Parts: sequence; C-alpha cells; structure tokens
Amino acid sequence: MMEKRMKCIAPGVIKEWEIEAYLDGIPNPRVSAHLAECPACAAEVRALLALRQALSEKLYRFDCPSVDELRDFIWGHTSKEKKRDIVKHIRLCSLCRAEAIALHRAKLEEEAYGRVPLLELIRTWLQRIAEDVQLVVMQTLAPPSWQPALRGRECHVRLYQVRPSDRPVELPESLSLFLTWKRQDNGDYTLGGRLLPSEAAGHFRGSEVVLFDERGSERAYERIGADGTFTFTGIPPGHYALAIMGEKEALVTAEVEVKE
Amino acid sequence: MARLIELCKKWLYSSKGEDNPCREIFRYAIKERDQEAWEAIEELYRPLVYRWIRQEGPFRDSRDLEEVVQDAFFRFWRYYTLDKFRRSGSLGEVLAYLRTCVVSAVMEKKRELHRRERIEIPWSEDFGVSRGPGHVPPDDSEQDLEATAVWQIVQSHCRDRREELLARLTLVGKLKAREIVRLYPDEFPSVEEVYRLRRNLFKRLRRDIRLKRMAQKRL
Repeated sequence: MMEKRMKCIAPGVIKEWEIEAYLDGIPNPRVSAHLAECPACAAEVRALLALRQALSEKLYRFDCPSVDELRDFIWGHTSKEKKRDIVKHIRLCSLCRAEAIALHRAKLEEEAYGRVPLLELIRTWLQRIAEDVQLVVMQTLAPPSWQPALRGRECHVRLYQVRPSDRPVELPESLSLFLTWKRQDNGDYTLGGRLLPSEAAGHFRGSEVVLFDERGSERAYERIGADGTFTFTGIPPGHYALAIMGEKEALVTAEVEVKE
Repeated sequence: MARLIELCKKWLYSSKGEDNPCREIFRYAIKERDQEAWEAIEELYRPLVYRWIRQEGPFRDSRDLEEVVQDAFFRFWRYYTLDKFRRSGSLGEVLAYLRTCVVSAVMEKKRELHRRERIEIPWSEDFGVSRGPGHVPPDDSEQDLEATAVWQIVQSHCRDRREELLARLTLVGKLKAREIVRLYPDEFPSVEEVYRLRRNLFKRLRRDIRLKRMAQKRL
C-alpha cells in the first residue's frame, strides 16, 4: 500500500486515501485495526505523522501578522506600507482574514454600545420568545417529522471514539438537537438538523457536522448556520453517526437511523 | 477617585446618570498613568471582559481563561495611548478598543494552543515504531532551522503554485483536507484530490535529509 522497507501484511486492504483521511483525524475502525496488526504500515504512518508534526510546529502561522498588528489594522493605526502588507497577506490567509473580521465585528458591536435602537431590542426579545415556544412545542408535542435526537446533558452518546483524548463537554443544559429527514424522488434522503435555542446553538455556529456511515467512513459534512441549522442532501437510507466537531474533537455525537 | 468609581458603578450597573465618570477614570489611567485608576478599571470591567471572552468561545482550562483576562488588560494598558484616547468620542469607543484587546488576547491564546497542539490519531500509541536501514540519527548539535529556512526547503519541493498553496494551507494554516476544499474549491475540487497531492508532496519532503532529521527528533 505504501512505500516501505518492511512489507505490509495485507497489501491493498487499506487505500492510500484512507490513510490520508485517517491522518486528518477521520475515524476508521478498519484502518485502526490494520495499523494495530501491521508494523510496516504503523511505522509508515508514524513517520508521516512525525514529519507533519515537526513541520507544522515550525511553520504554523510563521509569517502571519501578530494579533496586535491586526488590531491596529482594523483601527486604522498602521502605516501605509504595513497596511498594504496586511491586505496582501489577508487575501491569501483565511485564518488572518477570519481574525480580522472577528476584530472588526467586536469593534463595531461595542461602538454601538448604548445606541441599540428600541425596535431592534424588541425584535430580539420577540425572536427569543418565539424560539422558546418552538422549543417547547417540539419537545412536548414531538411532531412526526422532527425527532428530538439529543437534549441537554444527554448529549454524550458516542458511537465512535474520534480521538483518544475525547471527553464529554459541558453543554448548555437547555441545548437540544432535533433531526428530520425527507425522502427525495431518487430514494435518497435529505437530513436536516436544528439546534435550539439559538442562543445556546451560537456556541456551535460555524462548527462542522460530519456524518459517518456504519463502517466509520465520512459520508458528508456541513457547517452549522447562524440559525443553528444544517442540512445534508443525497443521503441513502441507513444507520449513521453524526458528530458535531469542535476545534480538535467531536463535541456531540448522535446515532441516526435514516429510513422511511 | 473613590467618588468617580462610585458614580461609574452606578452608571454601569443601572445605566443611571452619565458615563462621564467612567471616561474620567480612563483619562486618569491613561494620561496620569494613575495606578489606582488602572486598578479601578480592572475591577470595574473584569465582569465585562469575562463575558466578552465567553462570547469568543470556551476555554477548558481556567488557568488559560485567567491568562487571557490578564493579557487583555495588559494589551489595553500597553497599546491604548493618550493620542488614541483623545481621538475617541465616547466611552463606547474606549470600550470598543478594550474589547478588541480582549479578542486579540483570545486569538493569541488560540494561536498558542493550536501551535502546540499535537496531531493525534486514534490508537497511535499502540503503533510499533520501525527504525529500518533508512533511519538517520538526529544530530543534537545541529541548530534548529529557522521557520523561513524550513519554508524555503518545503517550497523547493513543490512542483507548482497549487502544491505550494497546499503546503501552505496544510503546514502554515494546519488545515484539514475538507477545510481546504471548502476554502479553495477552484484549486482543489475534491477531498480526494487534496489527499493525492498531499501524499505525493510528503513523499518528496520525506526524502529531504534536513527535514528527515527534524521529523526523527519526534519519533
């Protein structure tokens, strides 16, 4: 399967892309089982990992502007030359771009401090009330299309160990995950998810949701929207594990049976 | 100062009165470098700083959280000059700068945590480690290469602009394949394509003796 000095005990069983996915932290019980058995492949993976680790540690954001430079940039406190360099860098670097946006947003939000229009406040309150009502309705009446998958502290169900360091995290007590699925014309399903209430769901805004099939292979991924929802399309019927990923590990996992 | 603090508290906790006393405390702290005023600022705004930090995401370790709070106030103390204070038109603007210092401190902590973060894969501790005929013993006398020198070596192994972009995203940005596809769908249309390119690039990088030494220090 790979360039190696020792021989793999079962050549061709694991594909190269599966190793690459595994190095990206995608759980795959078949790969794990093979690596536990095959010293050649285990050594190969270990060497690849060591090289990636060494290079990443050395190079991680080595030429990015400092956070203070970014802050000065969004406040307009930088020289023309520095500004030009940062703009050029931000065009290429998605991480600095995200940081600059976050700084800019924080600046704008706070500058508006004390100047929030009354109508905006009323709108926010009404939205919260509507969401609370929706949550109560979904939890108590449980309409057939929306299935409560996880509620508050029940969020620690795990189907796969994603990382050895996995541990349950403290989730907002009120957080609930609802799932719904709908059959499409071609027989596949659309799987929708919603975290409520949205204030607690904000904790997961932009997080990735990954759908794993029964073999532990990644089937699809999406991002949680600002309103706490996500949608997968073209999902064949079957048993899946759904994981909401944090920066390093799965924070929430749930089992899903997609069927008629 | 005690009177100013009292009036400022009244404004902060009940929005009654004017925000001038609060601004006046900032003026004392920034213009006069008054220690008491700085301490008052830390005391008055600490709850707000905690709230802003929580909005930026959770910290698992309470020591990290405390470090971020200290770092935020330090950055404000260091970078918010009298000139910047004079240009601010309201307390809101002063607090906006404090908040961006909080966000900077959180970002710095996240950068630091991410830099130190090891790439972990499940059950990796069970792997046997082979040191076959190709093993190059690490040379402890050798100085660590500078980041720019390492990057030049990596660049020299990239065959085109696309590979260089991939190397940058993987090693400088620590991005995973699916994040790369999401951010650069034109250059990298599929996760499989990223896996293939990355695999080939790393095969070349592994043959470089300087990088090999760097990596073997970690085995």
